[in-house]
Formats: sequence, structure tokens, C-alpha cells
Amino acid sequence: MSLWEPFSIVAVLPTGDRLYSRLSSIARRGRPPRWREPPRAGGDAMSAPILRAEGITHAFGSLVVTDAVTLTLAPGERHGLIGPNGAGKTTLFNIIAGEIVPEAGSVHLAGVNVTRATPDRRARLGLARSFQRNNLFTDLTVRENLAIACAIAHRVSHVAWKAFARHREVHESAEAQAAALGLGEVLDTVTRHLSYGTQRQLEIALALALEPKILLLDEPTAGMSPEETAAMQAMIAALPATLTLLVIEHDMEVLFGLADRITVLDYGKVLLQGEPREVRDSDVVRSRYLGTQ
Amino acid sequence: MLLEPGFLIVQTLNGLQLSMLLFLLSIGLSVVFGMMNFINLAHGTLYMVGAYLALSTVRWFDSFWVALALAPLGVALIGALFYAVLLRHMQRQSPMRQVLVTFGLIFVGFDAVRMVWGVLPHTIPVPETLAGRVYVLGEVYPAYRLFIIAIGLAVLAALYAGLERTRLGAVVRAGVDDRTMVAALGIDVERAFFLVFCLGCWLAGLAGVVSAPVFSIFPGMDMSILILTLIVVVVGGPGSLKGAVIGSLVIGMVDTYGQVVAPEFARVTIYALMAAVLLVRPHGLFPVRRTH
Amino acid sequence: MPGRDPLHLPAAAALVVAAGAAWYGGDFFLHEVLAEIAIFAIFAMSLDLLVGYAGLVSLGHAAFFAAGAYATASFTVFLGWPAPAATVAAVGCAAALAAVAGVFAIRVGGVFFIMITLALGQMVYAYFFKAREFGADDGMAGIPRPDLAALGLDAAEPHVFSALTLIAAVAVWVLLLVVVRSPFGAMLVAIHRNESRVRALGCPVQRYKLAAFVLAGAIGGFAGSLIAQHTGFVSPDLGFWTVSGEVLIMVIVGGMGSLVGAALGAAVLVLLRHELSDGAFWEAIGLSADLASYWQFVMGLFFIAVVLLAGDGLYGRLASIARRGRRLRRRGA
Repeated sequence: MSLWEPFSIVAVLPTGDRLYSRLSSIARRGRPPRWREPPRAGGDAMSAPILRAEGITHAFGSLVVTDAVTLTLAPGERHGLIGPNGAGKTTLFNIIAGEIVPEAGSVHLAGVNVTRATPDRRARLGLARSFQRNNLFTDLTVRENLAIACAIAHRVSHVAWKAFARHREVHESAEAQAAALGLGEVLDTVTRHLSYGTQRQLEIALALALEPKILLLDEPTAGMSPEETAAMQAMIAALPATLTLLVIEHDMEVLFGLADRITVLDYGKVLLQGEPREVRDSDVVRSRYLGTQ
Repeated sequence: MLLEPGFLIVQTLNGLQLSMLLFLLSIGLSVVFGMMNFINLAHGTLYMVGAYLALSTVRWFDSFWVALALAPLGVALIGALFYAVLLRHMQRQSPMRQVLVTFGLIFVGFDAVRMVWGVLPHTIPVPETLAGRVYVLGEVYPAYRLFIIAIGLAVLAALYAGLERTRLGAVVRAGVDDRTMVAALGIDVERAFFLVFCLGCWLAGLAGVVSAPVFSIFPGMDMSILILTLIVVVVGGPGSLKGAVIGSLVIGMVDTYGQVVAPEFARVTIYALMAAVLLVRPHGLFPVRRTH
Repeated sequence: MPGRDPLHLPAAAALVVAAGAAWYGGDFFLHEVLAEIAIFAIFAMSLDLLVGYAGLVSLGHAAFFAAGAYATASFTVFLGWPAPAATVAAVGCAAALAAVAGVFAIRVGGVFFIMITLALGQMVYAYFFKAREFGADDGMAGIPRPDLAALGLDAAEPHVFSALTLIAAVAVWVLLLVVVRSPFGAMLVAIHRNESRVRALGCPVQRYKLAAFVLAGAIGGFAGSLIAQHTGFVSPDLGFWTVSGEVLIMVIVGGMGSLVGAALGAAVLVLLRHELSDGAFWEAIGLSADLASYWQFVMGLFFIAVVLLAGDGLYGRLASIARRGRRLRRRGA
């Protein structure tokens, strides 16, 4: 018996797809990320969709939650996603964010097929998200929360030899980010001691710290008081115009106020896609959704 | 040699016998894991204690059948005690702390057994009714080993019926699926868990008793069986009867054939198999919980 | 977040001074124990990187300990390499093994991670137990220590070798301190606290976990290389899963997520093991010396008590006392 024989059994095993992709991604480490490559010659970068989800179909068991849904977002577009509970909004959202791999259909992000890519890869391609329920580092301060996001954005998160405290540029940009979003005064407050509305703001601030091209917001005003909702609306309205937004929102008025286009989902299918006015005037939508209000 | 039918029959029966022992041990571990996300490393110790209790019962009553009836009950009692004294208070602790408490119990159990029964290996005789040999497809095979297989199959049938037909079974299945949901429905999951835990201990004790006439009884017999049992749970996927059955069969067969075909590799074959399964299915062959 | 703990440096200094004093005043036996403590401190600190910082509770860490020990034995005995070269190669071997095992283990979390690391660790144990090239269950003997003749020292002397291991322990502590205070270390803590958020922020979480697993494995291998040189022989028992369990208890005794705590836990457990298995200890407290043969019983009860009662461990207790003291002083001022 040779020394390595028992281990060679492992070595010659048919490699699973996921292992292969992991190993190859380790091998790729250090090369520039693809989204920094210049746009391909002949393509018009501005008119090409930044996000294209096509024919997305997914079922949990026998329950089809999204059925051939197609969604296309142009750069700078502010797109709203509405529908009654169980319409498949969150599933679609999770498929776009990479938490779920759809059974059929594809997701393209800035021209790159990311249907099977992990959430972190999509984030590196310029997609950031907020979570429906606050998903923060609750026992760290606002400053530390933002510093973690900024360390990733500044591409120093892998540095293992220089103290984090000595990465001045990261901490400065974390402070700047906090100041820009009105979190400057709570920088050193431990997150779980913040009010719900402020935590919600930090949720979005973390996503923005990545300087994304497209931001997914999952019910940004859920559970907020009217004042907090107004503050959140103002914060979203103040986002740079070049940032593409995809927003799930239950509050119709909030959505009609901020979206350029709206997709109405119902039982996993697209009921209607159009401008807010069209949606508001649509009889179908009125009877299926707004009718209940 | 490998393809002789006689050899195949005998080895398959041996594999089936090991599989059934592993099934008795792994099912309790697996369902408790599925329900409470808790793994009892002292499960092997319970198996060992079952064997030792059988040894003492046989000495006192001179009957294997009395041991078969009493020893598993004794083990279940020890399990209940363990639950009441330690585990009940640890539900909110991290999985690591729960696991390490049972790790400490292994040391306690090991030396306790040495104190009571000494360090020398023991055996108990095969009961007279099963001492003979029978012909299976033309091959001579010890009747007692067939008895082990029969016990395993009987337990499997009983558990299957219990899980599918009884209220407790329904609670257990639902509890493995979504524990908080079941608790929200006002069902006492805690009690169901306690019963399942005790049943698991009883089965570990049973495995100890029935294996005692075949293997020798010694302090430390818990270790190798524990690792095999954990591998069964990992390969089968925790929380399901199906996973425990298939896992036991696969591991039992591979281990048995591995021992005769390539004794040098025996255990390494099992680990390689486990690695192969984990590569394709990180949560085992039949995971009950949804894995994103 | 690592880096804002004012007690860490004073505690480390105190521990180093204590070890230094024990070394200076120690006899043959104490030097042997000191070397063992230093080696297990290295081993425990490497596991603490995984458990306390990255939140990966491994019950198979002894595999790398054994791999490092066996690699050292092989390079010195089979190939005749000098001990330092063998140590470097052994660290590499342990890291490579950790890279392979890590690919399997890091795909799952929680209790499943515990079980898989346990099983993978046992795989290594089973391999060495059967491998005839490595002496199967007898192990290998005749592992040399570094040749320090150039410095006028003899590493075979316990006081020399224990000094070497103590220096190595301090070096490993510094290395790990740098790592946990770096952005990488902060990221491990962040992954531990909230993995899905870190992933959504664009951090390739799996790669970070694997890197931590490999680093911890490499340092575990380093500890294994030292234990091989300390005892002069290796056996499969080095890789048995109860060794992994014990080192995990060391981390908990001292307090997870503090490197000094892990070293402290190693000292406590090594000393306790020596005392409990020594008949003289039992006679000294007025009991029968025969109890020494049942030391595992007491050790098991100790483990259970530690896990139930330790909370943040010895170091965590110290830190909270220090915090309370500072608060009182501030109030007084």
C-alpha cells in the first residue's frame, strides 16, 4: 500500500459542480473582477439592461411560486414590485439576490449570467440588497457595521497582516457614509440599542457602502411609524440618480411616489408591467389587489 | 473467492447484521438530531452500558431473555435521568456546549464501567434456543445472527408504523420539519422530545444487549461504534427514518465487505464513501430539513 | 470586535512572566510539563481561531496535530532531515490536509460541521492506525530534536526544549494576534455573527472560512510537530477524536475568542491531567492513591462542570472583573 493511496480515492472522485466552481474560483483569486472589464465593443452600455431576469420559474414542492416571470431593468431605473402575500415577490427577490437557484430561467447582471452565482459574487458584480427583517451585526456599533462593509468595498477584507484599525481609508469612508445618511450621531452606538427606524436606515447604509450599481430593497418601510416612513422615503429619494433600484413595498403610496415602473405579481405570474399611472388605473390590478383597500 | 455465491451470501448476512445494529443505534440519534439539533456523543456509552447490564442480568437470572427485557429499560432509565439532570437545562445553550457535555459523559461512563465491571473483556453465551445453525440458501449460518437481523427488521417495522400511525409519530415528524411551528400549535414538543430521547436510549441499550453474545464486552467498546453510528447519521442525513435505514445498510455493507476484500483499508473505505456522499450532498443522502 | 480588549496585552504579559518564572525556578519534571503546556497552548490557540473567532466548532482538530507529528516523524526518521526542516514541511503537510478536509467541512454549519469534522478527523486516525509504513498502531519512535550545538545548547535537555516551546508559543500568539486584529480577522468575526449579511456584502464567505481552517490546521500541525519532538515518538492516539474534544474544552475553560484564554485553558487542563493521574495528588488530599487510575471520571465531571458553568471562561471572568474595576475607579474619580 502506498503512502497516498487512501487519499487518492478522494482525489480521483468525480468532482461535483459546486466543488469545481469553488476550486476554480479560488484559482481565479487575484484577477481583476469581471465587472471592471470595459463594456464589449459595439454594445451600448447605457441602453443595455443592468438586470435581466428571464422566464424565472420556481416551485416549493408542488407549489409554483414564480411562473415564467421576466423582469428587465435599465440603468437608473426605479422599479417597484407589488403583489398580494404569496404572489412570489420575496422568492423572485431571493432568486435575483442569489439565495435561491431557480428551477428554470436565467438572471443576467450587467451582461453576466449569474443564474447560479453565489450572493457574494453578485454583490461583487455590483448588486446590493437590504433585508426584509433587519439583518445587521447587532452587537457591533454602527461604525463597526459600516467598517465591515467598507473593508469589503475597498477590497482589503482579505488583508491578514495589517491591523484593521490602521486601514484609515476604510474607517474614513465608513464615517463619510454614516454622515451622508444621517447616521453620524449614532456612530458609536451598539446597533441593537438603535430605534427600529434607524436600524432600517443602517440596513440600507450597509448596502450602499458597497457603491452598488443596483440596489434591491425588500420592504424598506415595513413596520415603520409614519415619521420613520417619511424619513426613509426622503433617504431613498436622495439616492444618486444613476443607481438602479428594485423595491418590494407593501405601502402603495410609497411605491407610486418613487417608482418609474411597476411590476404586479399575482400567484407567481406577472399580472401587469407599466408606469405607476397605468398600474393605478388598471381594472385587473384594481380588482385583484387594490380592490381590497 | 469474491464471486462465489456462498461467500456472497454469508458476507451479505454479516453486513445485514451489522447494518441492523447500526440502525438500532443511529435511528435514535438521528431523530433527536432532527428534532432538537442536538447530538448525543454518549450514545455509544449507552450501548456499552446496555451490554454490561445484560452481562449482570445474565449472571443473576441466568437468562438472556430476561436481560433482553430488562437491560434496555435500565439504559432508557439512565437516559431519562441524564435528560432530567442535564439536558433539560441545556436547551438554550449553543450546540457546541450540548455536544461537549455529552463528551464529558463519555469519560465518566468509561471509568464508571471500569469501576463496576473491571477492565477485562467479558462475553455472554448465546441463548440456547438460538445456539444452533441454520441453512440459508444452502449456506450454514448461526441462528443467533439471523435473530439480530430479525430484531432490527422488527424495530424498523414498529418505528415505521409508529411514525406513520400514532399521534406521537405525527408530532415527531412535524417537529423535525419545523419545531417552532409545532410548538406554536400548542403541542408539547418538549415531552415528545423526551419520549423520543428515551426511546433512542432504549434502542441503544437493545443494540448493546443483542450484540453482547457476538462481540466481547469491554470498556471502550463504545468508541468505535459511536463513530460508525455518527457516520451513518451523516451519510443518511439526520432526521429521517429513511436516512437512518439507507445509511445503516450502506455503511454496514461497505464495512463488512471492506473488511474481507481489503482489510488494510477497512475503515478508510467507509470514510472515503462518506467523503464522496458529502461532496455531492453536504447534508446527507436524505436530509429532512430544507437546505437553501 | 477584536482589538478593543484592554486586558489582552497585560494578561498575555502576566502569563509569559508566570511561565518564565516557572521555567527559571523549575526542575526537570516542571520543564517537561511546561513544554507540554506550551505545545497545547499553541494547539488550543489555533483551535480558538476557528471556534472563538470564525465560529467553526471543529471536533477533528487533532487530525492536524497528528498529521504534523507524523510528518515530522517521517521527514526526520525516513529521510534524515534535521528537525527544523521537518517542522516546516510538517506545517505544510498539515495545511494541505486542512485544505482538503476544509473543502468538505465548510459547506455545512452548526452541529453538522461538528459531526463532519469529527468523522474526517477519525479518518486520519484510522489511516495512521492501519498504515504499516508508519508503524500502524505502534506508531514511530526516534524523532530527534533540533540540533542547537552551534549555540552551545542541547535541545535534549528539558530546560532547553521547554524554553524553545515557550518561545514558539509566544511567536504563535503574536502571529494569531496580528491575524485576528486584521481586516481578515474582523471578517471572520463578522461571518460568525451574521453570515448571510457578510455574503450579501460581497464577501466570499466560504473562502474566508477555508482560509481560517487551513491556517488553524497549519498551526495545529506545528503543535503536532513539537509534540513529536517533545516525546520522541508518535502514535495514532495523537489524532484520536477525544484529543480534539479535550483541546476544545481547553478553549472553553480559558474563554473562547481570546487567544490568551486558550493558552490559559491549556495550562489548566495539562496541569489537571498530570495531578489527577498522579497517586501522590490523591494521597495529598487524603484519599486513596488508587483513585489516580480513575482520573478520567473526575476529568469528565470537570468537563461537564466547565461547559455548564464556565460561560465566558476564565479569561472572560477576568475581563469582566477588570471592566467592573475600571467603572468603579471612574465613578470614584
